[in-house]
Amino acid sequence: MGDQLKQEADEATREPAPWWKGADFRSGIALGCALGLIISVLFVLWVMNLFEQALSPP
Amino acid sequence: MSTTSSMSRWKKPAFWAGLILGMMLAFGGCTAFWWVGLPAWDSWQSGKRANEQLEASRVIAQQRDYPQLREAELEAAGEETSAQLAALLAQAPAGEPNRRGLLRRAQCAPEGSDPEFSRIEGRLTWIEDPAERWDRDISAEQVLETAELFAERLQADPAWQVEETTIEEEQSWAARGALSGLEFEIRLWQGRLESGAEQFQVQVETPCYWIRDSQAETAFTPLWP
Repeated sequence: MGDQLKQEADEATREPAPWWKGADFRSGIALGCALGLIISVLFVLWVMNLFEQALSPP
Repeated sequence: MSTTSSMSRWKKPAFWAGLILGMMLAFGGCTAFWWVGLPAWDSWQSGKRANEQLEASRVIAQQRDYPQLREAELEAAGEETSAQLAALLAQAPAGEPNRRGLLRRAQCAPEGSDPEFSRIEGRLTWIEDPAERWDRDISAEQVLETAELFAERLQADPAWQVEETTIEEEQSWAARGALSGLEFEIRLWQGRLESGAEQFQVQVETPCYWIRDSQAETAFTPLWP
């Protein structure tokens, strides 16, 4: 019982983790990387398509 | 529970900070790959190809321990391949993407270097069917004669036109034309290699065959202005 109280007290007094170490930040990074990669690939494909259209004979 | 947790993430500033940072990382990574990684890869491949060509020229020089036999082989193979190519040029039907003749591995050496290397060599690869691929060495003269043959045929065609462009230190001439229903494109480059050797390249590209790469050690008189 005493241990439990002590644990609760420790948890109550423990300083919260900084925001950049939290799970929300990590999931934001993961989603941002995935979205960024997809957008980059789509952008490159679009630009290449533009070049191909410009270089192809009429 | 997890749905509630993931829903609430959208309201957290840390999540949005991570999202923006993640996207910036991805954009930055892709940009670095595009502008640094790909050119570096290309440059590495070019260096590798140059080394392979140099190695091939060494092998040729070693094989010249039997010069008479080698010369005769080269001459016969060159005449035969040029004749075959000319015949195929006249006969090849358009629009067969698997038909490709590839003239490649032309070698050269800077002036004053080992005379064994001073001769241009060519290798003609004809791939009509990947299963029936063959390679033959041909001489510099055959390389140029073949290129000249194409140029003459193109010049005889009213659709032939010449484009001249200057790209940095390289000069290139491109000719386009059509003959017997085939589309042609001939490119000729003159430039200076990093080693100081003059480079000469000729490339003939059509839907049916493709000839490229020959190099000369000295200033070369172009086949056309």
